Amino acid sequence: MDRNDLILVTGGAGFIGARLVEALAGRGLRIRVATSDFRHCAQVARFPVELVKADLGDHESLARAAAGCTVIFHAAYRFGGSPKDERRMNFDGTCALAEAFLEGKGRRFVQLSSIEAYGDQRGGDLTEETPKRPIRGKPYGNIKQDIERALLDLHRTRGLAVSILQPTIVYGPYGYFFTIRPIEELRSTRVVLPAGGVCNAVYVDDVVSAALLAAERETAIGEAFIISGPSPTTWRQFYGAYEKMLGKEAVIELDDDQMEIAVRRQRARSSLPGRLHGELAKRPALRQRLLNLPPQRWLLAGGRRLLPDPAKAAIKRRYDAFWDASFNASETSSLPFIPAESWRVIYTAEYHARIDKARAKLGYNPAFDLDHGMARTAEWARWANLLPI
Amino acid sequence: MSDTGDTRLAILGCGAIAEQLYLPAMRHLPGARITLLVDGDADRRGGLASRFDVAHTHDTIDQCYDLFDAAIVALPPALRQPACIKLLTQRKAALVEPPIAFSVTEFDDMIRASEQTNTLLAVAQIRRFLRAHRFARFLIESGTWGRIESFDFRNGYIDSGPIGSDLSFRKEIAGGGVLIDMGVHVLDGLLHWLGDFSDVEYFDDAAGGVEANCLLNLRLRNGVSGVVELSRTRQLRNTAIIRCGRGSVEIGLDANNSRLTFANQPYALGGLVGDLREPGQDQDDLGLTRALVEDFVAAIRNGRKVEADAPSARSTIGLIDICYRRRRPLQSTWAYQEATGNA
Repeated sequence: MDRNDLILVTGGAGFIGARLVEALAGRGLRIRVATSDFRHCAQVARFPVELVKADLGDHESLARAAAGCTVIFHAAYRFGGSPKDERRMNFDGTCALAEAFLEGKGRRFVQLSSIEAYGDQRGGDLTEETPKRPIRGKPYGNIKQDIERALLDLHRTRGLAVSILQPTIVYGPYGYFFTIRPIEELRSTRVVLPAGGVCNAVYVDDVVSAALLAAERETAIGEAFIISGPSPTTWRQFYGAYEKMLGKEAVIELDDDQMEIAVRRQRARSSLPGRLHGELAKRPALRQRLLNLPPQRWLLAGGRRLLPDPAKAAIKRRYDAFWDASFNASETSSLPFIPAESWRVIYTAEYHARIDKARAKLGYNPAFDLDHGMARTAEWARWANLLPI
Repeated sequence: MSDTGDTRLAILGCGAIAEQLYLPAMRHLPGARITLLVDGDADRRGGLASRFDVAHTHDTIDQCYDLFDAAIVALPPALRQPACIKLLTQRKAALVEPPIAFSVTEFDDMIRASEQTNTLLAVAQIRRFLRAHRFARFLIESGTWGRIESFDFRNGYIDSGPIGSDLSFRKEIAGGGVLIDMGVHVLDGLLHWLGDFSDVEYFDDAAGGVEANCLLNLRLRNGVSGVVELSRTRQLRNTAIIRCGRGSVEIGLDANNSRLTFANQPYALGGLVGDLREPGQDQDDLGLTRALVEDFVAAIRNGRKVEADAPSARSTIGLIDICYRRRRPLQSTWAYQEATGNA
């Protein structure tokens, strides 16, 4: 890439996109940033970039954004709506952008995909040859799979010079899912993690380096590359790095059985009677007043007279459990955070994402191990006021 | 004036500020009404005119001077100074969104035009109407908390503000980034309360575009020093702390929160700064905008001084101007660095 290129970064105000813009600006290249919302552009507007409004659902805006661009880094993805809407927005939008790129005779189209395109993988080595599996319940991975397939079809049938990157768990400055979110969780409460999960973490600058290589290397065309850090770590170690930043121990590691119990308890607590019980535990005076209400007493007296003994005993057990004050308020307020099932699937996976192909064909050589990447992340997090002073 | 005796106001620029603040705030404002909207975008000005019941619209003020007595200038920053000069030359009072100019030279041209035509030029320094700001000024001026020793102002939000276009990020239109955009309010408060500056060291993170973060090490003429930090990418404390001989005063920069501490005492006093004349009511953006326009209209009608007249904005513009000229890069150890290990 040189000054003759006009480079489009879609999603250029997002986590990876903005970092990529920073790298491209550092090389003195001409950059156009496509965004659906100018509010998020303060970070990239620090650089000499052209900001344009484009939306994955508005194909004309994508064509305008792509006009005259020789290189496109497509990092935009829009979450939300129904799975059908999400697919239409992202799959159709990406295809429209690729069409505009072909029409403009662009030189390289770099697709920022995701390791989730491989679906629900559990263990062993994950390589670009690993068969992809569908994912139930979450559209993101399936849509990424379909986008990759469509772009590679366009490569085969119409010569689209596409290169696909499949980053793993990306963390670093301004990252939400694997940086800001875990810091905020750990800062506010204790976090439950399943024991033994493997975390294929990669620092954002390594992903950006890979994207730059994908835009330049001839060997990258028509290929997909898994992009991860130098070696995998565990989720315990990954969260441990954030605990270290925060100066507190807040991770509770649970094995499968313990996790199942914890999840069951959480479900019970989040049910309507569970929530009512929690609220009443925090307000003993209200609890006592409710117990003293005449209808309560009438119901109890009527029940005692009318119900058969076994039913009476069963109802009494439930009734006593509900009104039992032993579940005190401090216990309720310090409950640990249990990740949702979709996150537990990620935290329990044990596969090792291999980067041999990226090393061999792209010349990719990740520069940040977990310590190094987290040290940079900590400096940013401190500056961003995410860590205690 | 209109037949009814109302002051007729024009709004120049139909962007988010006009739509979300001035037009709704001025519904049923006693003694004034909006008679003209001026904007290059016919659909935009037409849409707002029908929504807010404004009689006239135009793409320029040149043929419309008969339609209004005074104007609110809410144009993009680069267009404000020339528009004001035009208005003042036609003896139309102007209330201008800050920054009203990018340099002291530009600013002085406006003051000259205002003086030569004896026409009011006011600055829409909306934060001066916050009770917390007035309270802070009272505390400082009255010397209640003793001699000022230092100050620490921090104002920053992530992705703040409704930005319908990229104008705020275009240097030639906006004049800069967070310093001129947010700083024009923060520094106005600081200089208004504590007095004029004498020296400044300035750092920001612009790298060919407009800065998202900046830091000022500021020294005032009275010898007091302190820091000002502004951000468009980080949530900051959003208060001003002024340390004085008898304790410290912490005041919300864009809200009415406050916290007072007492030297050598473990006690603190905090809460919303209220107004005994309006008990239980806080101020919102619409209420503040209304107060701002009422103050402007009253000044036109009664000839009294406005809360923020243009000369009082000179120091802020001068300070921002000097900051940009003395700019040094804000260091960040986490900035992207080209990897050297790739084959």
